Amino acid sequence: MAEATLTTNTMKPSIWNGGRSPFKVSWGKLMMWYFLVGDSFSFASFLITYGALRFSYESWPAPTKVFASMPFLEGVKLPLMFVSFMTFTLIMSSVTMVLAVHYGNHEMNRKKVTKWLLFTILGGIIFLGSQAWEWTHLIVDEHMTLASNPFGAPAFGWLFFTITGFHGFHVLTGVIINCIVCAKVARGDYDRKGSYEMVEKIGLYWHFVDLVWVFVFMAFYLL
Amino acid sequence: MSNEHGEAPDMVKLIWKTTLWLSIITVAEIVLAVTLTEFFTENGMLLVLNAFYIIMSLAKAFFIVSVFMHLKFEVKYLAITILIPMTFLLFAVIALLAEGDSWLHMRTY
Repeated sequence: MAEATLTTNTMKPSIWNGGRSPFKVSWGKLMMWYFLVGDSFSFASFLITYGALRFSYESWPAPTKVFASMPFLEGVKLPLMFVSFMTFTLIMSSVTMVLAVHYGNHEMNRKKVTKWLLFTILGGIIFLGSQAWEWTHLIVDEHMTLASNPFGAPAFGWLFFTITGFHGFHVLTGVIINCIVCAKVARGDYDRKGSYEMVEKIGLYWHFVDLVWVFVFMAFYLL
Repeated sequence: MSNEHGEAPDMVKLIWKTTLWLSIITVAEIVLAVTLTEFFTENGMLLVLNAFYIIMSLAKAFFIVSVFMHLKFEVKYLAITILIPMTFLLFAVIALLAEGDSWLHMRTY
């Protein structure tokens, strides 16, 4: 009797019987997803703090007034144009990343993956350079510090530097990991392994950085 | 190797289509922010503009997560375990923005 029950149970295709992956993803990819869930809570805590403090001030610096400068164009007021360029760079680097993932997973095409990863790294570096310029401009020309700024509410300074800084740090680590993965792709490591999943995992991280920028951009430059 | 995740046959086309949408939304947001902020502020309708930014940002997030991060093509329950915790953030947003608003009335500086 007991034997018969056991046989019927193993015959029945149910995810509760074990022996296969219910989510049909590898351990590494699943853990990357759950790391990103955790990381989105760190960014959420930053942005919600920003919201709470912003609501506690009568007035808040207007983005079109604060972010109106462009490199090489001193004295010209071009509201939000430089950050548009930064945003577009990050979106495009996300596109090149997803293309690298696609050609890795579906064609195992080492040359194409290397090419698109290099474009992604370039996009990341341009973004970081732009952010460095923006910070330098705000610190040196506008005398914005963590404690004070010429635009209004004192909390604006430290919220801007900590939140864009934390995001920029993510971009930096993303660029570094992309460089390592790109070198390994070019060396043929993943061809030998028979799987380009590492490109997909770092791809998830890179898209997350772009995703966070959507909300950082909204909070600081639009609202 | 292909269709391992049961995805659309022409993924590259979908990627570029998504890129186009992300770009259109971003350009629309920036154009509105630069040209219409003053108009909406003067007419006391800034809330409308802000609601537009929030909805459009959520749309962009949806495009990035579903297509670029491939979540649309994963097993449904994986997506659920990732998205359910996010809904709790809504609670934090409402609670802390309301709290921030009350700090405004307590400020003496």
